[in-house]
Amino acid sequence: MEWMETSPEIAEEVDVMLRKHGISAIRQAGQFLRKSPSSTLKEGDIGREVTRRLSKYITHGLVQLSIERVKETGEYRQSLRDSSEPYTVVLHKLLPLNLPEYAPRISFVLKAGATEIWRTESTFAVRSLVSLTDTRITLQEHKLKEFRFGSLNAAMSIYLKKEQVEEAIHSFNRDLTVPGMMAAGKK
Amino acid sequence: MRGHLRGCGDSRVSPCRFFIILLIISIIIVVHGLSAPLQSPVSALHTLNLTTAVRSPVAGFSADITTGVSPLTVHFSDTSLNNPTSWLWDLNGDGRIDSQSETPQYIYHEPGTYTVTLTVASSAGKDEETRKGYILVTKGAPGPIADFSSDAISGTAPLTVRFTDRSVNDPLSWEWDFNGDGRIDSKVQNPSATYSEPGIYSVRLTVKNDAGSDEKTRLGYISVTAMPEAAAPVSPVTTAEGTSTGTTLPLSPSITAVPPVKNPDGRSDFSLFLLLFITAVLIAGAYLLIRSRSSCSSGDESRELHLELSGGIDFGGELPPLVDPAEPVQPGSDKEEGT
Repeated sequence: MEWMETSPEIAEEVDVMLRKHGISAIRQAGQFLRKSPSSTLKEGDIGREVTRRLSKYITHGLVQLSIERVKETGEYRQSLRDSSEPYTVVLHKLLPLNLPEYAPRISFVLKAGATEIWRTESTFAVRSLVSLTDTRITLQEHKLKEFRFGSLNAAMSIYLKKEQVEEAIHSFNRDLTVPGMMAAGKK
Repeated sequence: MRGHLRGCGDSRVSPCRFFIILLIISIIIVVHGLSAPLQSPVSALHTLNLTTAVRSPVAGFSADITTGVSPLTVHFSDTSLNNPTSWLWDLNGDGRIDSQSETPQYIYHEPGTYTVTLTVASSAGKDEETRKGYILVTKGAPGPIADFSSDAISGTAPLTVRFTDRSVNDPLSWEWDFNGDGRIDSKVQNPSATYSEPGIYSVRLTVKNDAGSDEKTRLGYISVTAMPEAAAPVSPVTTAEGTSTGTTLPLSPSITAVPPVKNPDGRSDFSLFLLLFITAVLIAGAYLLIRSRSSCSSGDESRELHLELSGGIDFGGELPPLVDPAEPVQPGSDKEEGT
């Protein structure tokens, strides 16, 4: 499957989050690697890769769930019509959409050759409220063919899931861009 | 021939009295005849009123539910005006009549949006109402997807491993096979297992819920090596949820102790031991030397430590989960700003 391009704003926030909070899995992996003279990996390399993956997952989940929620709005349903030709509708103002929680996760596996030595996993929870304006949807035969954001604002909270509890580790409220998903004229 | 008119006072019916009676009867008949036709205009008026009161029906309908997951059962009600006598329903927007009942029920099996049209008719005429995209059916909850992890994947016997269920889409039951022998060892969500025999064990988890089932097998997942001293563990794999499954794992032969060689000549023993020790030291040294040289070569990476990251997204049933395959983490440049 194709992943969404990462939102640069989300990548910034995740980078700030990991610098501020840190993830124990990254520290543990770094400790293992420091003991190995043959490895040239540093903890910074691990953090960079975690940032890249987590930003990608958060962006993808946000976009997919936003699309699903838009499809449930009255404005979207009123836009449906029997047309075999594609047509575009602009949904100027939608009520803020409370997206369901989704859980990105990252697994860490340390290997010596093909042998696994150590494994752990970090799971996050993301909750967000998105405000969309001038959303452009292209429909054909009652199916959504294309979806473009006009403007996208997200109030997002990120939690780190532990055994019995979850810990809030970061939140932000800002306008976001998603490369390849913005309407023409928007960056 | 004699005859005479009778007078009015005569006791017998006189002509005078006869004419009076006849007159009264005639009046009665006339009055009755005049009054009878008066009733027909009244009934005619009623008839006219009934005819003008019948109006053409006005189509209208409602549904008990308009949004849900498939398969979605919807009960429709007719709310048309002016008492239609026939109903034609197109409940899925395909242009064909699906029901002629006044209050039909329809099951939507596929996700999508559906247009509903009702045509009603009576002797006074007919009417139609169409609602586009009236019924919205979304995909039902997907079946579970099995996944698991453990707190250890290798170690020396006896090795206790704690397994964690990572399945998504809310499974309701779990069946674990800790040693790949096809038998269920545990039905707990997050069990522990103790491997007392050295060997390499495959682990399988099967999960189920109302929407389906799935299984995940990790071949050669747990690697158990023998204890440093010769030992012969014979106890079976036990699970830590309170009851033993009684499963025995005869995957590798028991290790038996090698009886010492009896030698009455103590000096020969010592010489033999010294010779073996020196040989072992030389072999170990040569191995380490070769290994340190080979680790510098660019082609030999078989024992190099490396870190792989993988991941994905669990949408909690809202959407199918996503999996991102594992990739090794590459060292970055020193100038690159890392976290």
